[in-house]
Amino acid sequence: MKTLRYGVADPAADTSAAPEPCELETFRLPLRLFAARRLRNWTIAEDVSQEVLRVGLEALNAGRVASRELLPGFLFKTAVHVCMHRSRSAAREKRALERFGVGLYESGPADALENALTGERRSRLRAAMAELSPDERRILELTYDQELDSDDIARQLGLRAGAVRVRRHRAIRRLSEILGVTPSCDRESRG
Amino acid sequence: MDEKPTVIECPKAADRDLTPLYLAGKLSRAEAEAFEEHYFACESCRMDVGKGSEFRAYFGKPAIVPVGRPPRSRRPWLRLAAAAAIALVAAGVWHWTRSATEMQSVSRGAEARIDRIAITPRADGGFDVSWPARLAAAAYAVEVFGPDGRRFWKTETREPHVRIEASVLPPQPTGRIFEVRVEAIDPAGQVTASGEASIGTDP
Repeated sequence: MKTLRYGVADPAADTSAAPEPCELETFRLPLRLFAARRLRNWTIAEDVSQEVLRVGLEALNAGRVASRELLPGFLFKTAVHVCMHRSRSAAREKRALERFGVGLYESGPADALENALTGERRSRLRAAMAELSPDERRILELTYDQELDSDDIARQLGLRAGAVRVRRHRAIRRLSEILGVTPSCDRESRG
Repeated sequence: MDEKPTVIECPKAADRDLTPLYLAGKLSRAEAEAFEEHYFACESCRMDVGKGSEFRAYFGKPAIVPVGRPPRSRRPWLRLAAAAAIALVAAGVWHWTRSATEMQSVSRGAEARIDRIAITPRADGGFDVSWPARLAAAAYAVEVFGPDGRRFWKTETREPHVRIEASVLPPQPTGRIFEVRVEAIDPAGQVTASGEASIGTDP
């Protein structure tokens, strides 16, 4: 039986155009998250994202990624490969340390993943959050702090789950505008 | 002229909970990997994931919670495997022969994987699910999750197969994926291996 993946085409993108190197930057944080989930270490995840972006840049410069639609797949596969390689290296290192009685090697603790936000970024986020409505702030807090799903949030706030998703989506878009998040290179950061 | 960014909306907007569930480590491994493959190609979801991770960090939580295999040093099967080895040596050559096979299997299961989960659709809309039996398993827990990561059915069985009746499955819109998770449980109640497989439909 064939199964479907979460594959969605981007209808507005000019997929035939060659990607620009600056487009790689929009993948930096997703790459770090991708690697952090697998390798459980934020520092190593940063190294992985850097390595994948370097490979991506080299591929762009060499013309190996001919169109924009091929870039995400190229980076995704490269990230999978790099993570697998790192994971194997870590396992080999752990076995070697254990063999020599150095003690158990623990991969990076989960708390390393909390260092994702610099002080400056946190201040800017706090200021941007203040521009949202109380309801929007509450929805973000219940979603990302309390980790409630839309149904539970809807029950708490007396809304429909669909309305919660729409408001959350809108709040994230507003914050992105305030913070100058740039979905692609032609949208300059306004932060 | 207003130069506000025009962000392409993802057609999967109805599944927006995917991002918080993914970051909170509440998607199954297979769902998380499928979502990763999606958000690399989807600008809207990619932005949501980045922003969501910042919110989590802002609220003092890990930017993302790893899911899947636990750290090796905390694996309960190590102690179980050692205990099984001692018991099997004491039990004699025949048992030892069997235990060798068993230990090899558990050892390969260092990845704690149940592979080759077969899902066969039935004419009535249900599914038959089967997997290779594991010698150490006293029972198997089978769970079915919806595309939003919610579990909507669970059962336990002693046999390496189970039937999922059509009546327990919610209406399945085109393109939705259900996740089946199978866990092998030993007599001490420990999960010694697990595996996932997807049920989906073509558009």
